[in-house]
Amino acid sequence: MISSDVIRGYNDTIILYLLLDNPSYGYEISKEIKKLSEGKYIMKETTLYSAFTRLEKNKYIESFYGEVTQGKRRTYYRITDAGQSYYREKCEEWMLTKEVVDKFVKEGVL
Amino acid sequence: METIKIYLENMFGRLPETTETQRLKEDLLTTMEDKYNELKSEGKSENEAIGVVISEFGNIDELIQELGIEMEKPEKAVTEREAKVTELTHVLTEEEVGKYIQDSKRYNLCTAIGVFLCILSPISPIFTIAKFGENRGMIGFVVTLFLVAIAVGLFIYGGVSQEKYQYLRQECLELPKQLEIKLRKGQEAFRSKYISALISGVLLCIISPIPLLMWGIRDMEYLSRGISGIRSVCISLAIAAVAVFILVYFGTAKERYSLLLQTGEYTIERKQRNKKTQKLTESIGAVYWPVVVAIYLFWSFTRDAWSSSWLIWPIAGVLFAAISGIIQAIKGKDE
Repeated sequence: MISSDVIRGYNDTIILYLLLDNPSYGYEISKEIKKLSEGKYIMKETTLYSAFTRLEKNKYIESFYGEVTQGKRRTYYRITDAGQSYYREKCEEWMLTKEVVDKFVKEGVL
Repeated sequence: METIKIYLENMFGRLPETTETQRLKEDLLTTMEDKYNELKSEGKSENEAIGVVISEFGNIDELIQELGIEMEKPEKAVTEREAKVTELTHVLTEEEVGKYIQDSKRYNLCTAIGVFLCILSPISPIFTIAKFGENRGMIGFVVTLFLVAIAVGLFIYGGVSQEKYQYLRQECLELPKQLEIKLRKGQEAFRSKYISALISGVLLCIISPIPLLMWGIRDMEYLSRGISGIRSVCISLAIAAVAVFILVYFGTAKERYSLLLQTGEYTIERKQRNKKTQKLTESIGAVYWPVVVAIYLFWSFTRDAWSSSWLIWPIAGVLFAAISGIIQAIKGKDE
């Protein structure tokens, strides 16, 4: 399990990645994160929704109501153009971060 | 499922209820329920499922922090609006209110006593004329004038001293929370007292003519003997005086509460409306009354109609009340 402190700066990137192809809703995204990380990262509900709030405020995503299923009306999110370019920026930033941090990580220490 | 709802409800208890938090709560609930249902369908027990859902909820502070940044803007707008209101709002202090209550109690008592004396004042000439004949009647009138003079003195004293509290009637007031609660409690306790006072006042008013009527029903010969008929007039007046005293005293006490708590006649909306209409009414009055005086003088002098021309005063008075009523109605509609 990954500590939420370490990954914090990339929660937004993770969510944006999952919205790149299709709009999605809270639980689906949360499930997807768990699946793609092979259970190594479970995003807490509050983390997920504070990210939604922040991303929407910054106009990186938009919310809309999906169709009512099983008596529930889900809030869906879709990525905006601004969100896509922000995502690319974050990817570049990560590449750089990874490159730098890698220089200080000794392989085979464990 | 209910456990999740309650848990979420508790978590959101600290947050203000805005549409944003409301929506967030609903969304979170849906997500948590989705997760719960899926865990159940995977064969987890209810307790296990709830355990997982709650353990993966996270920390509400994280959301509050995010919302805090979000909510800063609307909050600023609200405080700005509030600041604007406070500029026009008079914030009352406990001391101020205490002094006003003390003062107004005294002044209202003055007014009530004044009215009481005015109503009682005719008793003395009636009595002296009946008892000592018309020649001595003048003494009775002197007493009447003396009583009326005292009453007028009391009215002026009360009126002038109340003038410094005029702003309570016109401005928007704000009470410290604790003081407001105290006053509301006082108002509540006063209500039953007021109702009994109102009932006894009205009842006394109704029964006040009874001595007169009883005397009227009996033999007219009492009239020649005087004193009994006179006594009934005096008793009637005395009852009426007590009745009016009660009505005035408790009526003003009730007004004191509605004035401070801004209810009834003194709500903020009414004050604001009055403020607008007052100016117009005043400027109309400034023209109206001199014109009335001119008509009165012209009519009286040219037609030598002094005996009937005074009629213009009650008519003008009622007409002015009608005019200001119309102004208020029209202005009120504009709102």
